[in-house]
Amino acid sequence: MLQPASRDHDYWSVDSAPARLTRPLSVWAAPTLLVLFTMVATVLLALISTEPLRSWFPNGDVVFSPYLGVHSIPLRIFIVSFTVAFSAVVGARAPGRLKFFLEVTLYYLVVCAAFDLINIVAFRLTGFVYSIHVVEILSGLFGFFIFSTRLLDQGTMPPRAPSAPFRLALKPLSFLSILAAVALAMAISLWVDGLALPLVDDLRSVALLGGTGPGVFLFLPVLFFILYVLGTLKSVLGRKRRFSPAVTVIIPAHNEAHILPRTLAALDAAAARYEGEVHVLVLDNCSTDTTPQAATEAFAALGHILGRVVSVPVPGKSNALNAGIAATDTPFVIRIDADTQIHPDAIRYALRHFASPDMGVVGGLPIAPGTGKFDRARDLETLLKHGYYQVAYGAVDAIVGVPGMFAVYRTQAVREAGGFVGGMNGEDTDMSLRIGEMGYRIVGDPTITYVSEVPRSWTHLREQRMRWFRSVYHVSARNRAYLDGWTGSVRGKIILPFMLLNSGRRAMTVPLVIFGVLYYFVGFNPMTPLTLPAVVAVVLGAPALMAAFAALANGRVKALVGLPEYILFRLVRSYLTLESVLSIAFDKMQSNR
Amino acid sequence: MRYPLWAFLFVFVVPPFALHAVLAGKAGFEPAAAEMRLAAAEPPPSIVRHRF
Repeated sequence: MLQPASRDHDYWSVDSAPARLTRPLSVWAAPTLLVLFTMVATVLLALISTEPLRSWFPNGDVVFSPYLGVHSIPLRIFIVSFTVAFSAVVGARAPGRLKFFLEVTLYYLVVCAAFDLINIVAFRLTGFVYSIHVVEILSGLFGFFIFSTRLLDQGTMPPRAPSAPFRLALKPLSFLSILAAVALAMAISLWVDGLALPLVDDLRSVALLGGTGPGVFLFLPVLFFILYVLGTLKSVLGRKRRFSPAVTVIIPAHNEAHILPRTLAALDAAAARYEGEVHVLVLDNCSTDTTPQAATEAFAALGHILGRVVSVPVPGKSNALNAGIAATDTPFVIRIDADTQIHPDAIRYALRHFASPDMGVVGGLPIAPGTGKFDRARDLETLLKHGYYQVAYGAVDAIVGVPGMFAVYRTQAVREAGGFVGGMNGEDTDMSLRIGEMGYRIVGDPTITYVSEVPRSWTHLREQRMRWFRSVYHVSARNRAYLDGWTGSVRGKIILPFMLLNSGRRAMTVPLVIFGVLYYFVGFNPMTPLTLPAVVAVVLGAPALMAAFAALANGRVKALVGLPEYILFRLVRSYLTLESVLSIAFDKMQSNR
Repeated sequence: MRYPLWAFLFVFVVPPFALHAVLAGKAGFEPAAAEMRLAAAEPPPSIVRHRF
């Protein structure tokens, strides 16, 4: 029988905030940063609007190379303003803060100067000149990336892994595939641009797309659509109709008595539809409730799974998982969270991918329970991330993270990768990244579904997202050899750096909105007509279109009702990313480089 | 020597952006580069250069 639902504070565990790598974060840290940022940005914008800077930089940003047109937002000033504010609030002592500020600013200066210099030389030699829009967008991307990589260097991070297993299998084909997809996406988006469709003009005029042409805004959606179709084809063609070897399900459990019977019942239903044996190991990790008894009673009542409880007396999810791997004697292993209820077909659908001998990891699509205030937004988030982007990344062998809520592994690959890492966030991403770099394939199959917990309170959401968003830094630091080694893979040289860049972008989204509003309403530059529409497009338009498309591609029309909530949720998520990077500890270790 | 992280920007970000910008009309080759005027003398939307 189910026990009462967990209280709000029960989500906190030893894995929530690894003590060595994080610091307790006041809820006032991010608001302080935003106030500081607004003040610094106002001063810098005012400065560049006064003589002599105004005549040196007539479009309001520090751009030295020639350019075409007027710009929408001075992102170089934005990046510097953000860096000043972040450095003032980051969890380092005064010398550390100064060092962080100087490093980010100087690196940014050097990269922008190099970019401008290249543009000046290109202009002199060939007459090549960018639109100022492109200069600003690229300047923003430079800033996002430099911020994240400096944080990676100066924040307290896990040490490099002692080994970085790598095999060239699939990697050259992966580079070629992404190159071909990019070329095709450019051709299609530019072809649509040439059609001059009335609909496109309408969209442009209402500024949903920020006033940009379809040649620009269609490129990424078309690229991901091509990859999504390719990924779906690869996934369907690569699996067998039936493949049902014995499999072990490992479930780390810390005080999960209230939900575990339901989880085991769902597993039993899935095992009933699966032809192979399904072993289940509940890894009791220092529970103080009746988790072991609840599991034992459930096993006695269920007829299709062979289960036992393994006591893991050392706290930490990775300890439990590694104990589970040590106790596994089947060639494939599924890890699920104790609050994950898998669909009755999940095991059957997932294991058939492993008929291919190079398959290493398979993931699925999380579904929200549907009873919490964040569930509708979460459904769209997972449809976009796991139901769409993950499939697309799979097309070019570029999936990095398969979430531990439900992940199926080739057991030998887990052992070759060195087991699950502890003391940091993102042990699931770490595992799939390493298995992928070892030359195994990874697939995200959205037909494999499972219901997974969604936080029901703001405090739980904050804890979860800060943990998740820190993980990209922890995983990158531990696996830095894939970033800065001379081994080449799309995963290590494009996707992982892009994830770092994107983390910087998300952390700066709320300040960027403030910056856009400030710039627009204070009227620092009357020659700039598209500032607010551009910000609206970045924050609302493009993500809304992509999420809607992902929902439709997965046949979940009803999920579209959550679109307004999803847009707001994205802003909340961005704010929590900012808090997440602020929670990274400084000064606790020597250089990470 | 390690592979530099900034190479991501100059190998995998800038070149595709430049190509796409040219094809989408957001960048171009101006045949009369020498005729470009200074920013102060000729404000946007024409090509802007600086006094430096």
